[in-house]
Amino acid sequence: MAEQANKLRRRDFLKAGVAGLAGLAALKVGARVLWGAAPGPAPLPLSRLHHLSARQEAIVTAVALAMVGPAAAPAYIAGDWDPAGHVDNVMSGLAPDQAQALGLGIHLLEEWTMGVTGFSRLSTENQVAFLAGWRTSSLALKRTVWGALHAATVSSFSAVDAGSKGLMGHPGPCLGTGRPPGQTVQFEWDEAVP
Amino acid sequence: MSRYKAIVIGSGAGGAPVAHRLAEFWGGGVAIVEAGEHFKASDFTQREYEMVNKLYAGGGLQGTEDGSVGFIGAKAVGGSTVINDAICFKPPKEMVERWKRYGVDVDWGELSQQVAQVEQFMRVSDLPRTMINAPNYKLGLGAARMGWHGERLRHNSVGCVQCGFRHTGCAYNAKQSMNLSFVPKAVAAGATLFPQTRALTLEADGDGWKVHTDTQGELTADVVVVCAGVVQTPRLLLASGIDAGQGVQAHLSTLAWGEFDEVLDPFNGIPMSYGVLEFADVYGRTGPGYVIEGVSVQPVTFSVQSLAEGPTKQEILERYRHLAGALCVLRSKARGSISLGAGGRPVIHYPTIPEDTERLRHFYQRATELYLAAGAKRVLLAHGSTRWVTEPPAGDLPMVAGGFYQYAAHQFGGACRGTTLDGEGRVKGQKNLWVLDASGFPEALGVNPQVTIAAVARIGAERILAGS
Repeated sequence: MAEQANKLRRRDFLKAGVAGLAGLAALKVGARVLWGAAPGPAPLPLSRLHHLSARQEAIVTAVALAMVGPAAAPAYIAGDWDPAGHVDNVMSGLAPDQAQALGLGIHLLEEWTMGVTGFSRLSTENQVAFLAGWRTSSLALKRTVWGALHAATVSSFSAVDAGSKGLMGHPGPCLGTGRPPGQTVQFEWDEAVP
Repeated sequence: MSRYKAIVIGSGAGGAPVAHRLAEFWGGGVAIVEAGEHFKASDFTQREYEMVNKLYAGGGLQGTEDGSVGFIGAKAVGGSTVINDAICFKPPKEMVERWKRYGVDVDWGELSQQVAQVEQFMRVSDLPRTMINAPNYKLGLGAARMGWHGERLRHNSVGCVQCGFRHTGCAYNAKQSMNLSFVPKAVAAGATLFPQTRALTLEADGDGWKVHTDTQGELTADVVVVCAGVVQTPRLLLASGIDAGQGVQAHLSTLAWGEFDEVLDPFNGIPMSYGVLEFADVYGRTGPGYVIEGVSVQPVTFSVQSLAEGPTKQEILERYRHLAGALCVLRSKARGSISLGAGGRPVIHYPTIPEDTERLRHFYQRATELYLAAGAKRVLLAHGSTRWVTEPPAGDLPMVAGGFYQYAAHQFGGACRGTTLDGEGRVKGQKNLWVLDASGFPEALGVNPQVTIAAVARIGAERILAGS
């Protein structure tokens, strides 16, 4: 019984801690939204977005650049890759409560940092470490936000030429490009393989 | 308002064969209600990102509420057979014994007859050596060197040009998915197909049913057969006030890739063509319960499967052309559920349990051994903290929810025979309401299920006809 009570107390303590941290982050979100501070400039018109605010767009862009790595920046600067547009598109396919949760999660990700510096103003190295922390977090909320942003950003990058051709060496579709379908890698079949 | 003899909801591996069989007898008295679009070959552009968004449920992001398991599904006429790898296994005989535990009797002779017919309709054939691509061959080579049982798989494709885009719809009309096999046959027999029509709720109407839809208003029928898949079938039953949603099981999948010096170009050739059955618990085998299947994917899918960020992510993507992938198809022992969330959306829960994670770790270890035996320099795991390895990962490799990439392309249950349904697929306590898709399966199967789902569904169709 005593052990169970201890466990319960520990759980309550953890819950209170998590709630406190989330509350602090939410306060920071509220303050930033009120002050209208945005982490960085956006090169594409905001009107293309249906769900994300300018601030969320800037956060998503910072996440995307950190998530994919150094190869991503030139594609973004050239306007070839629009990670916020892709996340916005993902949100269009979600149920309203899910889209709302992801929108809040994006704000939380920016603000759930120690001190006054938000995610988008951390060094690249610290951003990567911060994202890894969300991926491996024991909190489902953090993992879910990481998963949605990871899927939307890396998949959209792998869909543009800088990612699929430039980084991964994929030649593109066969249809409409003249690339003949079929295997190109020749190998000798070992007779031991059935 | 027309009244049909039967309305079949869903046109995937369960719904299409049922609709075809019923239409052979009832012709225009059969309607097929399908939430997804009716795509033609020319709609499949091979532009992966665009097609995943169009064809996959939730744009490919459908998954459990805690984000730990992706639940792959399709939104198209033909269901998930449009986006699957066209792999065809016969039903394992163990299924019959296992289903008996739930009070469900399957006549093996009848099932075998239906399997033969299904395979004929779906034009199932063996894959010759010449159609095994380089990454799949590496899997076979590693298995042979380890002394493990491997084999070339069977597929339902005719005249495959080996373009590598099976996951995003076949642009050459080669893959004989349901939109090309059973659905056209059902329509030719007189059935009416309502694509882009979502069944919202069912309402009893005397001995028959009203189906409330979003685009066709109210459709009525003497018999309704729900085949909308493991997420949507329970959703529809629950939305109609019928108890369902429990007993969900899955084949859990995670991945490992051998990295080779030479270029393998995993985007070319048939993506999945070789399997290792050494660790299966079907077909007389008594392994831990998973099949290893060679899998080659296009860039968008690959980029999501490795859990990393920043320079580590980039390094992984840069090695893409040198990787041979192995997929674990684990007969999970967990039980999940489908419930209704805000706005009636289906909410998926699937627990991560030690009985599963221990076996997924076992897969990482065996796949590493296999690829090293095949000559790989190192092996990449779809794991968040242990990625590149040169020896099998330790037995204490952490396997917590979210700490490794896992998804379920094959799902079962949610309207199980023995609980929600009787042994033949009728919804208990309801007249003339059937469920004949994988959501009726009381247990995960152990191998890729499309042939089994179709054969079991056709047996159900025979019961409907016999009772009419």
